[in-house]
Amino acid sequence: MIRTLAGGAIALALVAAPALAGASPSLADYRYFRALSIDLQGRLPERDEIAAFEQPGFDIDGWIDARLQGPAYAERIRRIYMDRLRLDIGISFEFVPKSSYLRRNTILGPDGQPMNVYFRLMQRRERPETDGDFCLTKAETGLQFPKYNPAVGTPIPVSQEVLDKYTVELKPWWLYRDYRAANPVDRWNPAWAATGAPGFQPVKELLFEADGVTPVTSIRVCREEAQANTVGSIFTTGRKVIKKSEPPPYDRLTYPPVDPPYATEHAGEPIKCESGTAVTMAKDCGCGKGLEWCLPTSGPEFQTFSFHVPWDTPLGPNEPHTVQRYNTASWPRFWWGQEVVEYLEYLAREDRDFREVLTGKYSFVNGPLTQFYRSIAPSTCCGDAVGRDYYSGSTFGYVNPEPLFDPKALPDLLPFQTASWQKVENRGPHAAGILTTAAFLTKNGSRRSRAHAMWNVFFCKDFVAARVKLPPSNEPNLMIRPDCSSCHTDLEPLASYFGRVSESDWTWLPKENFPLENPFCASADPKLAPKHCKTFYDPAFTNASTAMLRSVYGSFENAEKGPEGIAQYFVESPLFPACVAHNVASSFLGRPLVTGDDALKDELTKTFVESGYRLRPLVRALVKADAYKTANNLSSELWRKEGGS
Amino acid sequence: MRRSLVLLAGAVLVATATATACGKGPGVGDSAIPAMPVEAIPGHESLQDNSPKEGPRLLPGEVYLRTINRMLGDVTPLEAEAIMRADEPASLFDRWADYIASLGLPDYQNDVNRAVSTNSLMVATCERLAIAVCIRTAEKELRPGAPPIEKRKVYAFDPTPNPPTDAEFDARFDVLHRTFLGYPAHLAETTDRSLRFRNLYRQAVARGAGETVSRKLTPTEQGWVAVCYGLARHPEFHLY
Repeated sequence: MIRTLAGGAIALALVAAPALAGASPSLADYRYFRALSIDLQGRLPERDEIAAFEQPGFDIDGWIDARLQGPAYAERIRRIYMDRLRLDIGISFEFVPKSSYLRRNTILGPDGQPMNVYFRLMQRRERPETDGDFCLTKAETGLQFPKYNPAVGTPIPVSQEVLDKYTVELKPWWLYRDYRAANPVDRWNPAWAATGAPGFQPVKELLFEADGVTPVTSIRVCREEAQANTVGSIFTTGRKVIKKSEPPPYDRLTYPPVDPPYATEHAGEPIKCESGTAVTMAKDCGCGKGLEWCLPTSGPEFQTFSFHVPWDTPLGPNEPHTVQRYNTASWPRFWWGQEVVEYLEYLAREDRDFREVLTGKYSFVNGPLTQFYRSIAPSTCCGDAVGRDYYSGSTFGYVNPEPLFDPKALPDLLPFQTASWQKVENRGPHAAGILTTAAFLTKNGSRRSRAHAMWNVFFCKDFVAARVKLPPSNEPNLMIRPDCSSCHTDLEPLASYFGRVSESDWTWLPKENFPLENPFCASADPKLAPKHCKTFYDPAFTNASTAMLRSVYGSFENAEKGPEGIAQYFVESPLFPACVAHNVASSFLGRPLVTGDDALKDELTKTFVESGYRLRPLVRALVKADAYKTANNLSSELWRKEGGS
Repeated sequence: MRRSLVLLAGAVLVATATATACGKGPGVGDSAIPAMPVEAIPGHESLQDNSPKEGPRLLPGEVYLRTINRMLGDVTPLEAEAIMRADEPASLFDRWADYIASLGLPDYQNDVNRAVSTNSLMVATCERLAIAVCIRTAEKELRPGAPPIEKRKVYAFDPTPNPPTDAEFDARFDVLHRTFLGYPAHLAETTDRSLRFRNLYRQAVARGAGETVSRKLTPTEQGWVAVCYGLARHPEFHLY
């Protein structure tokens, strides 16, 4: 019934507390309920919830159990580990894989109007005038096209014949949802956000012509880039190196590519078009149907705007607080972090064996991640410098790199399907929980930093040097270098587990191509080792008879076990469950654990292990513990000022 | 007390002796005094306190933001921004981009940790949000055409047609107190919380009634907004 006071109405039951004399919750009870709501519902309790709580016989245990099944609880657990791991990649990690970026130059079309033509850097072409460069010449356009810069020269309209011969008009994936159809018609519009593609918005430079008003309905792309073959063949020209004292021929700004040794030895052999090497060794590899294997840019520059990216997303990618137009690299980088979010929340939501955070073979992808793992991730290995991209791998016969995420395991999602998350049951033989996600491997780019992150987050330990003063030493083996050894005796063997995973990348380095000790790279003077050796083999461990693969000196055995090996090592250690209990308890209590918490921590660890390494029983035990109920000590003696409100 | 002084004196003597020994020795790390656990130092047996230290805990930024969005009508953040800006952009609220970095949320991209205590910029940002929420919800919930009381998010009551009596004010204050602080006002540990807010309300109403300039809020609305604002910026609202 509604109690009515003179002149107004009050919501039902909200002033009923005095009537519950003898059964009323205490202030401590209300604060406990508030804390539970914050931690298990992700928000403050609302009035109707408080009213229900006040009723005699309120089942607090049932209430807790119901919230432990909810999405807010999963988010709570995810926050604990994301706060420790911080697996979101910022602009400091430049991600510009040349084989996956479609740049564009502006020329004059046959009608004398500006026209954009998309192309890939380093794309092989039949014509020596354009091989490895943009597909149209100075004679045809009046322009030359410096790398990463706008065109120079006096533009002349390109003829329709030339345009049709060397370029293709098509409707790309970022503009048409039905780009795979024979005649796409479903062009991008803001309504896509409500139908499977929330947060997907190309920048205006991709949506409109140069006049900023006319919608783009189709684009022009160099013919080679429009190909959809999955396998190409290695292309050779027999071209000789041109001396640098001679200018590039054909009015080019760059020299036509010459055949690398691998291409000469394997001319005509198949090569996977998804590999980065394909763009430099095959003229019949392109960007796929509707250019779906590549990401568009809006100019020739090194980095240009492409998409609007959810920027501040504390409540998730579908509820961003800010959205920014940003460069192409930001698009895949954003989704790398979301993969980890999905993974961690799945573990909590389904109450999985939490050891799967390191050992799980599965993961989760949406459209952008499917595009990334299918066609971008396999293309990033194995360059050692700008200008020598991808050649390092071919030195070792590694032209079809094996990414940690097997592209064949991916579902058939389209690149703009941001809301379609699917579980991939088995990413491949080397998959190991979050350790083999793009976010973890780039946030912790070096092998040591990967091992260090695991030591901190999953063992709750720090590396602290025994002494601050380090005596000078040339000893390359940090496990025996004076005073470095106190930390590196542990760190180097752990880093070795990642020895076969390339740094700041996700490519597996198989033993057939990269033996742990390789006589090919041997040299008495490491500086004189064969070209490209130092990309993979450590000069500090190179001598006249052999060279050692980088980061494996700590343990050859661990290097062969790979990421799944370190995952197993960690989850089999008693430190793992104790650290989980520590991390969760510390977060829920809002403070570091101290010696006085040992009994609680031991109890929680025991609960966690006996439940099969599940978090729900641990959290249930924790939120019912006295330590949690008293964790938010707001007693006035501690912190109130006199006469406070 | 005397025993404590004796222990303290002993500790000081040991510390002095130790410092003197360090000063005469070859250098830090090379002292002749061997390392030992703290408890083994005479007089230090009971000085270490390893008991857990509880204290006020800051609300996570995500919880704060989600609560704000629900108060504004279960809206998304961008919808909340539009509501708070309304037809007076940059007057009551700018854009999330201007505020969100100040709320203590972690920045994983730049390895900035989650804030566990407030700072002046965070407090100012929260106050700005509090003002915006209290005013916008008042415009929606205290005026003719407001949703049914049970569907109101903040002001789940109707204002009295005449200045409220103490009891009438307290009943409505209790609604707001539960909304923001999560418990009935009568359980507040500080004395006379209802009285203080009652005075605040009446002062705000009187000031509004005495103004010669036209305001968007009526004096009564100004009074309730002042109460709302007082609770939204109360330390307990920002804590567990």
